[in-house]
Amino acid sequence: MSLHVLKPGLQTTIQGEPRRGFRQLGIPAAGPADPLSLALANRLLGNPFLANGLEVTLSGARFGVDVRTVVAVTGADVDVAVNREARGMHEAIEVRAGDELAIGGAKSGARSYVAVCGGIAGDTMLGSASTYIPAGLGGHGGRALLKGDELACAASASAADASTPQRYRPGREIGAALRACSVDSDGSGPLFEQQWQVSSRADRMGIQLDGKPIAGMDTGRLPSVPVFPGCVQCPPDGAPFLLSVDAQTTGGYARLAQVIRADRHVIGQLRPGDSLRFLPRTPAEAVAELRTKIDYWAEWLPGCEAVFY
Amino acid sequence: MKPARLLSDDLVEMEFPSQAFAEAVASRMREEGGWLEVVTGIDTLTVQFDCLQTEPDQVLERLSSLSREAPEQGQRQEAFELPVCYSPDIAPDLESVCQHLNIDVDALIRLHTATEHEVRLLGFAPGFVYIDGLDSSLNVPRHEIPRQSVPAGSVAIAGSQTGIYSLASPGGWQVIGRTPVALFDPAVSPPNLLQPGRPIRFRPISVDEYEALMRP
Repeated sequence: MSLHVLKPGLQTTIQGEPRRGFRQLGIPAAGPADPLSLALANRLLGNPFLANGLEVTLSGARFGVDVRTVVAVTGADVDVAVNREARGMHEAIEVRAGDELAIGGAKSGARSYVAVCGGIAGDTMLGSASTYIPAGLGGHGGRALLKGDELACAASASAADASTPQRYRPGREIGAALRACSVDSDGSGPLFEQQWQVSSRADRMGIQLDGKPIAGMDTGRLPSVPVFPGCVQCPPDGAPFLLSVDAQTTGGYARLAQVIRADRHVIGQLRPGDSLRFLPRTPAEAVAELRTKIDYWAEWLPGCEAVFY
Repeated sequence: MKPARLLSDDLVEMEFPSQAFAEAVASRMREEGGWLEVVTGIDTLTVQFDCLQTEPDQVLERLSSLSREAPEQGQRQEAFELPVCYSPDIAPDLESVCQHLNIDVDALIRLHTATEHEVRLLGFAPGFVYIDGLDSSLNVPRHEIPRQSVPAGSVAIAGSQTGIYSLASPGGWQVIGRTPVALFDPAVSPPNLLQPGRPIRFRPISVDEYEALMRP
Protein backbone atom coordinates (compact mmCIF):
# COMPACT_ATOMS: atom_id res chain seq x y z
CA MET A 1 0.00 0.00 0.00
CA SER A 2 1.29 3.45 -0.62
CA LEU A 3 -1.35 5.95 0.48
CA HIS A 4 -3.98 5.70 3.17
CA VAL A 5 -6.89 8.01 3.79
CA LEU A 6 -6.78 10.03 7.02
CA LYS A 7 -9.68 12.37 6.16
CA PRO A 8 -11.72 11.75 3.00
CA GLY A 9 -13.54 15.12 3.01
CA LEU A 10 -16.88 15.70 1.33
CA GLN A 11 -16.28 13.30 -1.55
CA THR A 12 -12.97 11.94 -2.76
CA THR A 13 -13.00 9.39 -5.56
CA ILE A 14 -10.55 7.65 -7.88
CA GLN A 15 -11.04 8.96 -11.42
CA GLY A 16 -9.17 8.19 -14.62
CA GLU A 17 -10.09 7.33 -18.21
CA PRO A 18 -13.81 7.75 -18.89
CA ARG A 19 -15.88 4.58 -19.34
CA ARG A 20 -16.85 4.84 -22.99
CA GLY A 21 -19.44 2.94 -24.99
CA PHE A 22 -21.92 1.88 -22.31
CA ARG A 23 -24.43 4.73 -22.33
CA GLN A 24 -26.92 2.51 -24.17
CA LEU A 25 -26.98 0.39 -21.00
CA GLY A 26 -27.63 3.40 -18.77
CA ILE A 27 -23.99 3.66 -17.71
CA PRO A 28 -22.43 7.13 -17.89
CA ALA A 29 -18.77 7.67 -18.73
CA ALA A 30 -17.75 9.10 -15.32
CA GLY A 31 -14.05 10.11 -15.23
CA PRO A 32 -12.69 13.35 -13.76
CA ALA A 33 -15.22 16.21 -13.81
CA ASP A 34 -12.29 18.44 -14.81
CA PRO A 35 -10.07 16.20 -16.95
CA LEU A 36 -7.73 19.06 -17.89
CA SER A 37 -6.70 19.50 -14.25
CA LEU A 38 -6.09 15.76 -13.80
CA ALA A 39 -3.96 15.84 -16.96
CA LEU A 40 -1.90 18.75 -15.59
CA ALA A 41 -1.21 16.82 -12.39
CA ASN A 42 -0.26 13.63 -14.22
CA ARG A 43 1.92 15.63 -16.63
CA LEU A 44 4.27 16.67 -13.84
CA LEU A 45 4.85 13.02 -12.94
CA GLY A 46 5.25 11.65 -16.44
CA ASN A 47 2.02 9.63 -16.14
CA PRO A 48 -0.45 9.22 -19.01
CA PHE A 49 -2.69 12.30 -18.88
CA LEU A 50 -5.73 10.39 -17.65
CA ALA A 51 -3.93 7.95 -15.34
CA ASN A 52 -6.03 7.30 -12.23
CA GLY A 53 -5.81 10.10 -9.69
CA LEU A 54 -7.87 11.36 -6.78
CA GLU A 55 -10.67 13.88 -7.25
CA VAL A 56 -11.10 15.86 -4.02
CA THR A 57 -14.33 17.87 -3.70
CA LEU A 58 -14.66 21.30 -2.03
CA SER A 59 -13.78 20.46 1.57
CA GLY A 60 -10.27 19.08 1.19
CA ALA A 61 -8.74 15.80 2.38
CA ARG A 62 -5.71 14.32 4.15
CA PHE A 63 -3.63 11.28 3.24
CA GLY A 64 -0.89 9.31 4.93
CA VAL A 65 2.05 8.33 2.72
CA ASP A 66 3.50 4.82 3.05
CA VAL A 67 6.07 4.80 0.28
CA ARG A 68 8.66 7.09 -1.27
CA THR A 69 7.04 8.69 -4.31
CA VAL A 70 6.19 11.95 -6.02
CA VAL A 71 2.76 13.61 -6.02
CA ALA A 72 1.21 16.69 -7.62
CA VAL A 73 -1.93 18.70 -6.86
CA THR A 74 -3.90 20.75 -9.41
CA GLY A 75 -7.44 22.01 -10.03
CA ALA A 76 -9.44 24.10 -7.54
CA ASP A 77 -7.38 26.67 -5.63
CA VAL A 78 -6.32 24.88 -2.44
CA ASP A 79 -3.56 25.01 0.16
CA VAL A 80 -1.25 22.01 -0.02
CA ALA A 81 0.92 20.92 2.88
CA VAL A 82 3.27 18.05 3.66
CA ASN A 83 3.74 17.50 7.39
CA ARG A 84 2.05 20.91 7.89
CA GLU A 85 4.66 22.63 5.77
CA ALA A 86 3.14 24.60 2.88
CA ARG A 87 3.86 23.33 -0.61
CA GLY A 88 2.67 24.61 -3.97
CA MET A 89 0.01 23.47 -6.35
CA HIS A 90 1.29 22.58 -9.82
CA GLU A 91 4.57 21.30 -8.40
CA ALA A 92 6.08 17.84 -8.25
CA ILE A 93 6.31 17.10 -4.52
CA GLU A 94 8.57 14.34 -3.25
CA VAL A 95 7.10 12.49 -0.26
CA ARG A 96 8.34 9.63 1.92
CA ALA A 97 6.81 6.94 4.08
CA GLY A 98 5.40 8.54 7.22
CA ASP A 99 4.60 11.87 5.57
CA GLU A 100 1.15 13.42 5.73
CA LEU A 101 -0.26 15.14 2.62
CA ALA A 102 -3.02 17.67 3.34
CA ILE A 103 -5.26 19.29 0.74
CA GLY A 104 -7.14 22.33 2.07
CA GLY A 105 -10.68 23.43 1.30
CA ALA A 106 -11.22 24.92 -2.17
CA LYS A 107 -10.94 28.75 -2.13
CA SER A 108 -12.22 28.92 -5.69
CA GLY A 109 -13.25 26.12 -8.01
CA ALA A 110 -14.77 22.88 -6.80
CA ARG A 111 -12.41 19.97 -7.37
CA SER A 112 -8.71 19.46 -6.87
CA TYR A 113 -6.78 16.52 -8.27
CA VAL A 114 -4.01 14.53 -6.65
CA ALA A 115 -1.81 12.51 -8.97
CA VAL A 116 0.79 10.01 -7.80
CA CYS A 117 3.79 8.79 -9.78
CA GLY A 118 2.70 5.68 -11.68
CA GLY A 119 -0.99 6.29 -11.01
CA ILE A 120 -3.33 4.86 -8.37
CA ALA A 121 -4.69 1.33 -8.66
CA GLY A 122 -8.47 1.07 -8.96
CA ASP A 123 -11.04 -1.64 -9.69
CA THR A 124 -11.34 -1.77 -13.46
CA MET A 125 -14.92 -2.41 -14.54
CA LEU A 126 -16.19 -2.21 -18.11
CA GLY A 127 -12.81 -0.96 -19.23
CA SER A 128 -12.28 1.87 -16.75
CA ALA A 129 -11.36 2.37 -13.11
CA SER A 130 -13.25 5.66 -12.83
CA THR A 131 -15.63 5.66 -9.88
CA TYR A 132 -19.35 5.83 -10.60
CA ILE A 133 -20.94 5.85 -7.17
CA PRO A 134 -24.65 5.26 -8.05
CA ALA A 135 -23.86 1.84 -9.56
CA GLY A 136 -20.82 1.08 -7.44
CA LEU A 137 -18.52 0.89 -10.44
CA GLY A 138 -14.74 1.19 -10.48
CA GLY A 139 -12.51 3.13 -8.11
CA HIS A 140 -12.20 1.77 -4.59
CA GLY A 141 -15.14 -0.58 -4.09
CA GLY A 142 -17.23 1.65 -6.36
CA ARG A 143 -17.58 4.28 -3.64
CA ALA A 144 -16.16 7.51 -2.30
CA LEU A 145 -13.07 6.98 -0.14
CA LEU A 146 -13.46 6.49 3.58
CA LYS A 147 -11.06 7.04 6.45
CA GLY A 148 -8.66 4.11 6.65
CA ASP A 149 -8.90 3.10 2.99
CA GLU A 150 -5.55 1.96 1.61
CA LEU A 151 -4.59 2.81 -1.95
CA ALA A 152 -1.93 1.10 -4.02
CA CYS A 153 0.39 3.12 -6.23
CA ALA A 154 3.50 2.15 -8.12
CA ALA A 155 6.50 3.02 -5.94
CA SER A 156 8.79 5.23 -7.91
CA ALA A 157 11.38 7.39 -8.79
CA SER A 158 11.39 10.93 -9.94
CA ALA A 159 9.10 13.50 -11.43
CA ALA A 160 9.11 14.42 -15.10
CA ASP A 161 9.12 18.18 -14.48
CA ALA A 162 9.33 20.38 -11.44
CA SER A 163 6.34 22.61 -12.04
CA THR A 164 3.67 23.72 -14.50
CA PRO A 165 4.75 26.84 -16.45
CA GLN A 166 2.80 29.89 -15.26
CA ARG A 167 0.97 30.36 -18.53
CA TYR A 168 -0.47 26.87 -18.29
CA ARG A 169 -1.89 27.33 -14.81
CA PRO A 170 -5.64 27.89 -15.13
CA GLY A 171 -6.86 31.32 -14.05
CA ARG A 172 -8.91 32.04 -10.99
CA GLU A 173 -11.87 33.84 -12.51
CA ILE A 174 -15.11 33.30 -10.58
CA GLY A 175 -17.40 33.98 -13.50
CA ALA A 176 -17.38 31.33 -16.17
CA ALA A 177 -18.49 31.53 -19.77
CA LEU A 178 -19.43 28.28 -21.42
CA ARG A 179 -19.73 28.13 -25.17
CA ALA A 180 -22.71 26.09 -26.26
CA CYS A 181 -24.69 25.05 -29.32
CA SER A 182 -28.30 26.11 -29.02
CA VAL A 183 -30.98 23.55 -29.74
CA ASP A 184 -32.67 26.33 -31.71
CA SER A 185 -30.45 26.53 -34.75
CA ASP A 186 -30.33 30.36 -34.78
CA GLY A 187 -28.33 30.31 -31.54
CA SER A 188 -30.82 32.46 -29.67
CA GLY A 189 -32.96 31.61 -26.70
CA PRO A 190 -33.47 32.72 -23.11
CA LEU A 191 -30.58 30.58 -21.83
CA PHE A 192 -28.12 32.90 -23.61
CA GLU A 193 -29.73 36.16 -22.56
CA GLN A 194 -28.97 36.26 -18.85
CA GLN A 195 -26.32 35.51 -16.27
CA TRP A 196 -26.93 32.39 -14.17
CA GLN A 197 -25.82 31.38 -10.71
CA VAL A 198 -24.71 27.90 -9.73
CA SER A 199 -27.17 26.71 -7.08
CA SER A 200 -26.37 24.50 -4.11
CA ARG A 201 -27.69 21.53 -6.08
CA ALA A 202 -24.41 20.76 -7.77
CA ASP A 203 -22.66 17.42 -8.00
CA ARG A 204 -21.03 15.10 -10.52
CA MET A 205 -24.41 14.37 -12.09
CA GLY A 206 -25.28 17.97 -12.82
CA ILE A 207 -25.80 21.53 -11.67
CA GLN A 208 -29.06 23.38 -11.19
CA LEU A 209 -28.83 27.01 -12.27
CA ASP A 210 -30.54 29.90 -10.47
CA GLY A 211 -31.79 32.91 -12.41
CA LYS A 212 -34.96 34.28 -13.92
CA PRO A 213 -36.98 31.12 -14.63
CA ILE A 214 -37.37 30.31 -18.31
CA ALA A 215 -41.01 30.57 -19.36
CA GLY A 216 -42.87 28.07 -21.49
CA MET A 217 -41.06 24.96 -20.26
CA ASP A 218 -44.23 23.29 -18.96
CA THR A 219 -44.48 21.25 -22.13
CA GLY A 220 -45.56 18.07 -20.41
CA ARG A 221 -43.43 14.97 -20.47
CA LEU A 222 -41.46 14.51 -23.67
CA PRO A 223 -40.33 11.11 -24.93
CA SER A 224 -36.98 10.25 -23.36
CA VAL A 225 -34.00 11.08 -25.55
CA PRO A 226 -30.30 10.35 -25.01
CA VAL A 227 -28.52 13.11 -23.06
CA PHE A 228 -24.80 13.70 -22.54
CA PRO A 229 -22.52 15.72 -20.25
CA GLY A 230 -22.80 19.39 -21.22
CA CYS A 231 -26.50 19.17 -22.05
CA VAL A 232 -28.62 21.97 -20.57
CA GLN A 233 -32.07 20.57 -19.78
CA CYS A 234 -34.99 22.56 -18.48
CA PRO A 235 -37.70 21.03 -16.26
CA PRO A 236 -41.19 22.61 -16.15
CA ASP A 237 -40.18 24.96 -13.28
CA GLY A 238 -37.93 26.87 -15.72
CA ALA A 239 -34.69 26.38 -13.75
CA PRO A 240 -32.11 24.91 -16.18
CA PHE A 241 -29.98 21.92 -15.25
CA LEU A 242 -26.47 21.56 -16.68
CA LEU A 243 -25.41 17.92 -16.91
CA SER A 244 -21.92 16.80 -15.86
CA VAL A 245 -19.77 13.66 -16.15
CA ASP A 246 -22.08 11.32 -14.19
CA ALA A 247 -25.21 12.53 -16.06
CA GLN A 248 -28.09 10.13 -16.54
CA THR A 249 -28.10 8.66 -20.04
CA THR A 250 -31.65 9.58 -21.09
CA GLY A 251 -33.86 12.51 -20.18
CA GLY A 252 -37.44 13.60 -20.77
CA TYR A 253 -37.12 17.35 -20.17
CA ALA A 254 -36.80 20.02 -22.83
CA ARG A 255 -33.22 20.52 -24.01
CA LEU A 256 -31.94 24.07 -24.52
CA ALA A 257 -28.29 23.70 -25.46
CA GLN A 258 -25.21 21.51 -25.52
CA VAL A 259 -21.93 22.86 -24.12
CA ILE A 260 -19.19 22.35 -26.72
CA ARG A 261 -16.52 19.70 -26.24
CA ALA A 262 -13.79 22.33 -25.75
CA ASP A 263 -15.48 23.74 -22.63
CA ARG A 264 -16.93 20.72 -20.81
CA HIS A 265 -13.92 20.46 -18.48
CA VAL A 266 -14.91 23.85 -17.03
CA ILE A 267 -18.19 22.41 -15.68
CA GLY A 268 -16.24 20.35 -13.14
CA GLN A 269 -14.93 23.49 -11.41
CA LEU A 270 -18.28 25.30 -11.03
CA ARG A 271 -19.25 25.70 -7.39
CA PRO A 272 -22.38 27.03 -5.69
CA GLY A 273 -22.57 30.83 -6.04
CA ASP A 274 -20.40 31.02 -9.19
CA SER A 275 -21.88 33.09 -11.99
CA LEU A 276 -22.19 31.62 -15.42
CA ARG A 277 -22.99 32.74 -18.93
CA PHE A 278 -23.62 30.77 -22.07
CA LEU A 279 -22.20 31.99 -25.38
CA PRO A 280 -23.82 30.65 -28.56
CA ARG A 281 -21.66 28.81 -31.09
CA THR A 282 -22.53 26.86 -34.22
CA PRO A 283 -21.28 23.24 -34.40
CA ALA A 284 -18.64 24.30 -36.96
CA GLU A 285 -17.44 27.15 -34.72
CA ALA A 286 -17.35 24.68 -31.83
CA VAL A 287 -14.93 22.39 -33.67
CA ALA A 288 -12.73 25.39 -34.51
CA GLU A 289 -12.70 26.45 -30.82
CA LEU A 290 -11.68 22.90 -29.84
CA ARG A 291 -8.78 22.95 -32.33
CA THR A 292 -7.67 26.36 -31.04
CA LYS A 293 -7.71 25.10 -27.44
CA ILE A 294 -5.77 21.93 -28.31
CA ASP A 295 -3.20 24.01 -30.21
CA TYR A 296 -2.79 26.22 -27.17
CA TRP A 297 -2.15 23.27 -24.85
CA ALA A 298 -0.13 21.19 -27.33
CA GLU A 299 3.27 22.45 -26.23
CA TRP A 300 2.81 21.48 -22.57
CA LEU A 301 0.35 18.61 -23.09
CA PRO A 302 1.27 17.10 -26.45
CA GLY A 303 -1.42 14.74 -27.71
CA CYS A 304 -4.04 16.11 -25.30
CA GLU A 305 -7.04 15.58 -27.65
CA ALA A 306 -8.53 12.86 -25.44
CA VAL A 307 -8.33 15.12 -22.38
CA PHE A 308 -11.14 17.24 -23.83
CA TYR A 309 -14.28 15.07 -23.80
CA MET B 1 -38.54 10.21 -41.91
CA LYS B 2 -36.94 13.47 -40.77
CA PRO B 3 -33.24 13.82 -41.64
CA ALA B 4 -30.63 13.45 -38.92
CA ARG B 5 -29.51 16.70 -37.32
CA LEU B 6 -26.34 17.98 -35.72
CA LEU B 7 -26.94 18.94 -32.05
CA SER B 8 -23.43 20.21 -31.32
CA ASP B 9 -19.85 19.69 -32.46
CA ASP B 10 -19.91 15.99 -31.55
CA LEU B 11 -23.54 14.84 -31.37
CA VAL B 12 -25.94 13.82 -34.13
CA GLU B 13 -29.55 12.84 -33.42
CA MET B 14 -32.13 11.14 -35.63
CA GLU B 15 -35.78 10.25 -35.12
CA PHE B 16 -37.16 6.93 -36.35
CA PRO B 17 -40.70 5.69 -37.00
CA SER B 18 -40.27 2.86 -34.48
CA GLN B 19 -38.08 1.66 -31.63
CA ALA B 20 -37.16 -1.47 -33.57
CA PHE B 21 -35.92 0.67 -36.46
CA ALA B 22 -33.81 2.86 -34.15
CA GLU B 23 -32.38 -0.22 -32.38
CA ALA B 24 -31.58 -1.96 -35.68
CA VAL B 25 -29.64 1.06 -36.97
CA ALA B 26 -27.93 1.42 -33.56
CA SER B 27 -26.81 -2.23 -33.66
CA ARG B 28 -25.33 -1.81 -37.11
CA MET B 29 -23.41 1.29 -36.03
CA ARG B 30 -22.08 -0.40 -32.89
CA GLU B 31 -20.92 -3.38 -34.97
CA GLU B 32 -19.08 -1.24 -37.48
CA GLY B 33 -17.39 0.75 -34.70
CA GLY B 34 -15.65 4.09 -34.90
CA TRP B 35 -18.26 5.97 -32.85
CA LEU B 36 -17.77 7.04 -29.23
CA GLU B 37 -21.35 6.32 -28.11
CA VAL B 38 -24.42 5.05 -29.97
CA VAL B 39 -27.46 5.53 -27.73
CA THR B 40 -31.15 5.04 -28.40
CA GLY B 41 -33.98 6.99 -26.78
CA ILE B 42 -37.69 6.53 -27.39
CA ASP B 43 -37.76 6.26 -31.22
CA THR B 44 -34.51 8.24 -31.45
CA LEU B 45 -30.83 7.50 -31.92
CA THR B 46 -27.95 9.76 -30.92
CA VAL B 47 -24.35 9.23 -32.02
CA GLN B 48 -21.43 10.85 -30.22
CA PHE B 49 -18.40 11.00 -32.53
CA ASP B 50 -14.84 12.31 -32.35
CA CYS B 51 -15.25 15.65 -34.10
CA LEU B 52 -11.47 15.95 -34.51
CA GLN B 53 -11.35 12.78 -36.61
CA THR B 54 -14.77 12.66 -38.24
CA GLU B 55 -16.67 15.26 -40.25
CA PRO B 56 -20.33 15.60 -39.22
CA ASP B 57 -21.34 14.90 -42.82
CA GLN B 58 -19.83 11.41 -42.53
CA VAL B 59 -22.13 10.67 -39.58
CA LEU B 60 -25.18 12.24 -41.23
CA GLU B 61 -24.56 10.27 -44.42
CA ARG B 62 -24.01 6.98 -42.57
CA LEU B 63 -27.26 7.46 -40.66
CA SER B 64 -29.27 8.37 -43.72
CA SER B 65 -27.93 5.43 -45.71
CA LEU B 66 -28.63 2.96 -42.87
CA SER B 67 -32.10 4.40 -42.43
CA ARG B 68 -32.92 3.86 -46.11
CA GLU B 69 -32.44 0.13 -45.56
CA ALA B 70 -35.48 -1.48 -43.98
CA PRO B 71 -34.69 -2.77 -40.50
CA GLU B 72 -33.83 -6.44 -40.55
CA GLN B 73 -36.54 -8.44 -38.91
CA GLY B 74 -34.68 -10.19 -36.14
CA GLN B 75 -35.76 -13.64 -35.08
CA ARG B 76 -38.69 -13.56 -32.74
CA GLN B 77 -37.08 -14.09 -29.35
CA GLU B 78 -38.50 -16.35 -26.70
CA ALA B 79 -40.20 -14.46 -23.87
CA PHE B 80 -38.09 -14.00 -20.74
CA GLU B 81 -40.02 -15.16 -17.68
CA LEU B 82 -39.34 -12.92 -14.72
CA PRO B 83 -40.53 -14.06 -11.28
CA VAL B 84 -42.11 -11.18 -9.33
CA CYS B 85 -43.33 -11.18 -5.76
CA TYR B 86 -46.35 -8.90 -5.46
CA SER B 87 -46.58 -8.40 -1.72
CA PRO B 88 -47.13 -5.25 0.30
CA ASP B 89 -44.26 -6.44 2.54
CA ILE B 90 -41.73 -5.62 -0.16
CA ALA B 91 -43.75 -3.41 -2.53
CA PRO B 92 -44.52 -0.14 -0.73
CA ASP B 93 -46.97 1.21 -3.32
CA LEU B 94 -48.95 -1.97 -4.03
CA GLU B 95 -51.86 -1.17 -1.73
CA SER B 96 -52.11 2.52 -2.61
CA VAL B 97 -52.00 1.71 -6.33
CA CYS B 98 -54.86 -0.80 -5.86
CA GLN B 99 -56.86 1.80 -3.94
CA HIS B 100 -56.18 4.40 -6.63
CA LEU B 101 -57.35 1.97 -9.34
CA ASN B 102 -60.16 0.62 -7.17
CA ILE B 103 -59.15 -3.02 -7.67
CA ASP B 104 -57.85 -5.73 -5.33
CA VAL B 105 -54.28 -7.04 -5.33
CA ASP B 106 -55.25 -10.29 -7.06
CA ALA B 107 -56.85 -8.35 -9.92
CA LEU B 108 -53.71 -6.21 -10.26
CA ILE B 109 -51.52 -9.33 -10.37
CA ARG B 110 -53.78 -10.88 -13.04
CA LEU B 111 -53.65 -7.72 -15.16
CA HIS B 112 -49.88 -7.42 -14.84
CA THR B 113 -49.09 -11.10 -15.53
CA ALA B 114 -51.72 -12.03 -18.13
CA THR B 115 -50.02 -10.59 -21.18
CA GLU B 116 -46.61 -10.48 -22.78
CA HIS B 117 -44.67 -7.23 -22.35
CA GLU B 118 -41.57 -6.05 -24.26
CA VAL B 119 -38.35 -4.37 -23.16
CA ARG B 120 -38.35 -0.94 -24.77
CA LEU B 121 -35.22 0.75 -23.52
CA LEU B 122 -32.41 0.61 -20.99
CA GLY B 123 -31.40 3.86 -19.50
CA PHE B 124 -31.86 6.70 -17.08
CA ALA B 125 -29.69 4.85 -14.55
CA PRO B 126 -27.56 1.70 -14.83
CA GLY B 127 -29.83 -1.31 -14.99
CA PHE B 128 -33.11 0.59 -15.25
CA VAL B 129 -35.36 -1.23 -17.73
CA TYR B 130 -38.31 0.46 -19.46
CA ILE B 131 -40.94 -2.13 -20.49
CA ASP B 132 -43.90 -1.55 -22.83
CA GLY B 133 -47.17 -3.45 -22.80
CA LEU B 134 -48.74 -2.44 -19.50
CA ASP B 135 -52.50 -3.05 -19.43
CA SER B 136 -54.12 0.34 -19.98
CA SER B 137 -56.28 -0.07 -16.87
CA LEU B 138 -53.09 0.03 -14.76
CA ASN B 139 -52.17 3.60 -15.71
CA VAL B 140 -51.03 5.47 -12.59
CA PRO B 141 -48.99 8.68 -12.25
CA ARG B 142 -45.46 8.89 -10.87
CA HIS B 143 -44.94 10.01 -7.29
CA GLU B 144 -44.86 13.79 -7.17
CA ILE B 145 -41.78 13.62 -4.99
CA PRO B 146 -39.43 10.80 -5.98
CA ARG B 147 -38.21 8.38 -3.31
CA GLN B 148 -34.58 8.88 -2.25
CA SER B 149 -33.91 5.19 -2.67
CA VAL B 150 -35.85 2.41 -4.35
CA PRO B 151 -34.47 -1.06 -3.53
CA ALA B 152 -32.77 -3.20 -6.20
CA GLY B 153 -35.20 -5.54 -7.96
CA SER B 154 -38.21 -3.26 -7.51
CA VAL B 155 -40.84 -3.68 -10.21
CA ALA B 156 -42.76 -0.45 -10.67
CA ILE B 157 -45.34 1.10 -12.94
CA ALA B 158 -46.00 4.62 -14.21
CA GLY B 159 -48.04 5.80 -17.18
CA SER B 160 -48.09 3.15 -19.86
CA GLN B 161 -44.92 1.32 -18.79
CA THR B 162 -43.42 -1.04 -16.26
CA GLY B 163 -39.95 -0.18 -15.00
CA ILE B 164 -37.45 -2.32 -13.12
CA TYR B 165 -34.86 -0.84 -10.81
CA SER B 166 -32.09 -3.43 -11.26
CA LEU B 167 -29.94 -1.49 -8.80
CA ALA B 168 -31.02 0.61 -5.85
CA SER B 169 -31.53 4.18 -7.03
CA PRO B 170 -33.71 7.22 -6.42
CA GLY B 171 -36.98 6.97 -8.33
CA GLY B 172 -40.55 8.13 -8.68
CA TRP B 173 -42.37 5.11 -10.10
CA GLN B 174 -45.03 3.20 -8.12
CA VAL B 175 -43.47 0.01 -6.76
CA ILE B 176 -45.87 -2.95 -7.05
CA GLY B 177 -43.50 -5.90 -6.67
CA ARG B 178 -39.96 -7.13 -6.47
CA THR B 179 -37.97 -9.68 -8.45
CA PRO B 180 -35.20 -11.84 -6.96
CA VAL B 181 -33.46 -12.03 -10.35
CA ALA B 182 -30.33 -9.90 -10.71
CA LEU B 183 -30.79 -8.08 -14.01
CA PHE B 184 -27.57 -6.09 -13.89
CA ASP B 185 -24.08 -7.37 -13.04
CA PRO B 186 -21.18 -5.03 -13.82
CA ALA B 187 -18.77 -7.97 -13.57
CA VAL B 188 -20.09 -9.52 -16.79
CA SER B 189 -20.27 -8.06 -20.28
CA PRO B 190 -22.82 -7.00 -21.30
CA PRO B 191 -23.93 -6.30 -17.73
CA ASN B 192 -27.64 -6.21 -18.61
CA LEU B 193 -29.54 -9.50 -18.79
CA LEU B 194 -32.38 -7.98 -20.83
CA GLN B 195 -31.92 -6.10 -24.08
CA PRO B 196 -34.38 -3.85 -25.97
CA GLY B 197 -36.91 -5.79 -28.02
CA ARG B 198 -36.91 -8.84 -25.71
CA PRO B 199 -40.44 -10.08 -24.91
CA ILE B 200 -40.99 -10.53 -21.18
CA ARG B 201 -43.63 -12.16 -18.99
CA PHE B 202 -44.08 -11.62 -15.28
CA ARG B 203 -44.68 -14.76 -13.17
CA PRO B 204 -46.19 -14.17 -9.72
CA ILE B 205 -44.35 -15.84 -6.83
CA SER B 206 -44.99 -16.02 -3.10
CA VAL B 207 -42.91 -14.30 -0.44
CA ASP B 208 -41.45 -17.71 0.50
CA GLU B 209 -40.45 -18.40 -3.07
CA TYR B 210 -38.96 -14.90 -3.34
CA GLU B 211 -36.86 -15.46 -0.25
CA ALA B 212 -35.75 -18.91 -1.43
CA LEU B 213 -34.62 -17.47 -4.76
CA MET B 214 -32.78 -14.62 -3.04
CA ARG B 215 -30.59 -17.10 -1.15
CA PRO B 216 -27.32 -17.73 -2.95
